[in-house]
Amino acid sequence: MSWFSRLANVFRSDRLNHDLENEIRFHLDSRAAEFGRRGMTPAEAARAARRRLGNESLARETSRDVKLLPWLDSIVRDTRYGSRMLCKSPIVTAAAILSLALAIGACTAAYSLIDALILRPLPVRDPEGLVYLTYPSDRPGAPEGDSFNYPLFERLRDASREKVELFGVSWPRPRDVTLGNSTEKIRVQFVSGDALAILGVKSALGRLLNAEDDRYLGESPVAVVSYEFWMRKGGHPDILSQLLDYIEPSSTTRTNNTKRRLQIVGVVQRGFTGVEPGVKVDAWIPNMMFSPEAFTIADWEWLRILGRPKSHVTREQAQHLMQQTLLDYRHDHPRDFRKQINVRSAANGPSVIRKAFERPLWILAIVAGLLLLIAGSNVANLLVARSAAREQEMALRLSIGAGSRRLVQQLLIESGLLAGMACLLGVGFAHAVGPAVVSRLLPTGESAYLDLGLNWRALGLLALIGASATALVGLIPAFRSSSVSPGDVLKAGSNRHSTRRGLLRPLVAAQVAFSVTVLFTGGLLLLSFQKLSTLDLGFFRSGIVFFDLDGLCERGQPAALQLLDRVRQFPEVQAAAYSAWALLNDNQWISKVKIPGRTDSGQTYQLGVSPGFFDTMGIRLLEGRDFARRDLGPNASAVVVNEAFARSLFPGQSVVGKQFDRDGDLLEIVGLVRDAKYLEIRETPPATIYVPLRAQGDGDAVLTVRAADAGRIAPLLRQEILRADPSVKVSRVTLQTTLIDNLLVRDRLLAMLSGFFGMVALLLVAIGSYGVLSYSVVQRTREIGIRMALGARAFQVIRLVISEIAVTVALGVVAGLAGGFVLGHYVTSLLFEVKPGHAATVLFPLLGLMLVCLFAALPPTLRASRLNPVAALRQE
Amino acid sequence: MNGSDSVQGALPLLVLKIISRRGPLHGYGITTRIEEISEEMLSGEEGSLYPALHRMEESGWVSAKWVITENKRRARVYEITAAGRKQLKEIEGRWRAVTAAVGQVLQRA
Repeated sequence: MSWFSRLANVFRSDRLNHDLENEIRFHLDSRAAEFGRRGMTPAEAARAARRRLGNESLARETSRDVKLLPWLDSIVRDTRYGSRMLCKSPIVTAAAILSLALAIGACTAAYSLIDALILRPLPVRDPEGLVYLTYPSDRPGAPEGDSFNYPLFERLRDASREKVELFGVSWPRPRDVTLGNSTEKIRVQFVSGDALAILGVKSALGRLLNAEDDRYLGESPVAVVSYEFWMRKGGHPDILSQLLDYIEPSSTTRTNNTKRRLQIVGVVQRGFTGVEPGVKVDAWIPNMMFSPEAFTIADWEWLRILGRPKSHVTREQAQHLMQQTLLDYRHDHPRDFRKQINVRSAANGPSVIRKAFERPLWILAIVAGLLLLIAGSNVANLLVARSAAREQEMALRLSIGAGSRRLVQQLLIESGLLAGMACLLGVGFAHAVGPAVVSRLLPTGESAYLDLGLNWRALGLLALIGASATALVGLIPAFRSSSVSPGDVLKAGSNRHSTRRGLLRPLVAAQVAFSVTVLFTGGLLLLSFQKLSTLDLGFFRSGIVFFDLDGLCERGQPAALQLLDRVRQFPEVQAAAYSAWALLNDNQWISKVKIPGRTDSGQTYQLGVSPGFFDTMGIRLLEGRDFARRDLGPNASAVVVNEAFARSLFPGQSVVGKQFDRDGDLLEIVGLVRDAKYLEIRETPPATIYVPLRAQGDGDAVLTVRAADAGRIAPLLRQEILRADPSVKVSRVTLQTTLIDNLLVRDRLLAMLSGFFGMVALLLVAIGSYGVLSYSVVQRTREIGIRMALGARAFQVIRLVISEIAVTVALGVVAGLAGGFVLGHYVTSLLFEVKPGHAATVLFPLLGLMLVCLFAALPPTLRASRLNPVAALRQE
Repeated sequence: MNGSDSVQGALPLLVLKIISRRGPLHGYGITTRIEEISEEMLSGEEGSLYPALHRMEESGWVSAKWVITENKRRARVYEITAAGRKQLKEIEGRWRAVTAAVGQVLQRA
C-alpha cells in the first residue's frame, strides 16, 4: 500500500473501520466456533475467544494507525467534530463569523485600495528612480503644489540636463476624439517629447514620441495611444496611419477653440496607462501641441515635472540644483511666489486621488484594523465562554488519554474553521465594497480606474489576516483548556468559574476601548461632514442648474441677450443669467488692483457675470445696484464688489461710488454684495469683484438657471436652447447640487464609512456584552440561587451581575476615549470646524455605547432576576 | 508467561514462513497454524497478529484480499509477495545466525 492509499483511507475511514472490525470479528467467531465444538456454551465460548484475542480495541486502533496517516486523520476528525460543534450553537457561530467577516472584509478592502493607490509601483522601468518636483504652498497647512508653468520648466530642464533628466506632463484632460467615424471621450495627456523614453515605457507598435516632436510650437501633430485604446478600435496595425481629431477648447475668453488633427504614430506597451494611478490615459501628445497661450502667459501652471536623476546623482544634489535654478529664475521673474523646490520620490506616480485620499485611506486602514481587533476579541469571548461550558467534556477526553496537544489542535481547528469561513465571506464582502468605494472617489462623470484585482500581495495579506485572526481567536481558549486538571473539573462540576472570568474582563475592556475609539473618530468625521453639507456658501446650494454654452460669444451680445430672455420666459424658470464660469468649479481669474493715490496694492478674484446673476444665484445685494444693460457697453466701467473686497481695500467706508485701478483699467463700484465662496468650499470667501460679461469674440459662457425643480426641467431647457439658437452648443449640464456633492466626495466617503464602521463596532460590542453577561449568569447560577434563597431581591441580584462588568466597561471607555483623542489628532487635518475636545464628540460615542450595552445586558439580567432558587440549586 | 515479547519480535518471520509454505491464509488460519506447530507454546495475545499483518501489508511483503470461505463468511486472506519472499530469506538467515551464536555461547560459556 502506498502513501497515496493511506491518504485516501483518511477520507474513507468508515469503510476502513468496517473492514478492520469484520476481520477481527471473523477471528472471534471462528475461535468461538472452535470452543463450541470442544463443548463450551456459546456464551462461554465467546468470552473465552475474546480473552484469547486480548485487547481488541488496541489491536484495531494500532491497525488503523498503520493503514492511514494518523496526523491527517486526527485533523479531519477534528474538523468534522468542530463543524458539528459550531452548528450546535448557530446564533453564536453566525455572530462570530459575521463579525470576523466584516472586519476582515474591511481590512482587505482598505488594503487593496491602499495598494492600488499608494503602494503599487508604476509599470515603468525602475520606478524607484523616478522623482517629481513639488513646492510648498503659500497657504499655510495646504498640501504641496506640483503644477509649474512652462518657462520655469524649461529653465529647470535645461539647467539640470547633466544631472537629472526632467520631463513635464500635463494633467490628464477629457477630450472627445474622433477616429474615422467614431467619437469617444477619452483622457489625453500632454507630455514632453522624451517623457515616455525617460520613463522606460516601450512601444507595442510603431514608435514613441521623441524630443524632435517637442521642439517647435504646433509643428508636430502626432500622438501615441494606449494599448487598450488600440484594442478598442480594432487592434489592426493600420491604426498607425489613422488620424485623430479633437477640439482643444480655448483657454481664455478671448481666443478660439482650436481644431486639431493628429497622426497616430505608435501604440504604447500593454499595461501602461499614464503616471497617475487611478486615472486612465488613452493618448499622449507632445507638449508643443498644447494651447499656444500656455507658453506665453507667465502664470499658467499646467505642467507637472517628473524626472530621473542620473545614476551618480543623489536626491540632495538634485534638490540643490533645482533650488539654485529656481533662485535664478526668480531674478528674472520676481512675481513667482515659489520659494523652494522639493524633489520627491515618484515610484508610485504622483496622483491627484492619492493626494486627496492618502490620509483618509490610512485612517480607513487603522479603523479596519481596530474592527478586526474588536471582532477577534469578540470571537475569543464567545469561544472562551463556550469552552468553559465544555470543560467537562475536555476533562473527560483528557482523562481517557487525549494529549493536551490533541485538545489544543482541536480547538485551533475549530477556530480555524471560523476564521476560514470568515475570510471567505470577508473577501466577497471586500470585492463588493472596493469598487463601490472607488466609484465614489472621483466626482461623478469621471470614471476612476483602479486595478483592484486580487493579486499576490492581497492574497498574502489575507492569509496573514486569516492566520492572525485564528491565533487571536483560538489561542487563548486553547491554552486555557489544556491547562485544566481533569480531576478538578470532574469533581467540581460547574463550580469552576472564577478563573474564566479573569480572562473575560480584559477582553471586554479591550473591546469597549476599541469601539469607543472607532465611535469617537467616526463621530468627528460625521460632525465635520454635517457642518460642510449645511455650510452657508453665500449662494443657493440647490435649485440651480448650469449649462455650459459653447460658441455663445460668437453670436454676439444681442443674440446672447435674446437667448437669455427666451430662457427666462420658459415655464418654471425663476431666474437666469450668464457667468464666465460657475463658482466652486475649479476656475479662477486673479488680478492686481490698486487704489489711485495709495501706494499699496492688492489681489482680487474676478468673475464675469451678466445682469441678474446675483439674483439667480441668491447672492444678496447689500448696497448699490446690480448691472444693467447699459453696463454691457464697451466703455462702461461698472463693477460690483463683495464685502471681503470692501473690507480689505476700503475698510470702514461705504464703497459705492469709489474707484480703483485693475490692470490699468479704472473701474467704479456700483454695488456691494455678500461674500460668496469662490474656489474652495472650506476657505473664507476671498476678495472678489464681479465685472460685466460681454459676449464678444470667441468664448464660452455658463448659463445659470434657477428653478424649483432644476433637475427635471434641465433636459427640457436644453431642448429649448437648441431650438432658440441652433448654433449654440450645450456642452455640459451640471446641477448645483451635483457640483457641491463632488466637492465633498472625500468627506462624504469618510462620513459614510464612519457611520458604517461605528454601527459595526456597536453591534460587535452588543454581541460581546450579551455573550459575556449570559455566560456570567449561567456560571453563577448556583451562587444566585443561594443568594435568592437567603432572601436577596431581584434588583440586588441584577446589581451583582452588572457591577462586575460595569467596572470593566468603564475602564474600557476611558481607554477608548484616550485612544480616540490620539486618533483624532491624526484626523484633524480632514476636519472642518470640529475639534476633538468638542463636547458633542465625546457624548455621542458614550451614549451610543451605553445604550447598546444596556440593550444587550437586558435579557441575561432579566433571566438572572427570574431564577428560581430551588431549580438553580438543583441544577448540580 | 508465554514470552510474548519474543513472539512479537518473531511474528513477521513466523507469518511469512507459514504463508510461504502453506499458501494464502486468513488471520485466524495463521494463528491456529502457529498453535499447531508450536504446540500452544507460542500463544500470546492473538490480537497482536493483526497489526503485524497490516504492517507487513503496508510494507508490501504480503498482499491481501477478501474471499468467501466455505462457510459463506467473508475473510481477509493474506498471500506472500516476491518482496516478501526476499524479506523472509533475509530475516530467516539473520535469525538462524543469531540462534546459532547464542547456542554457541550457551554451550561454551
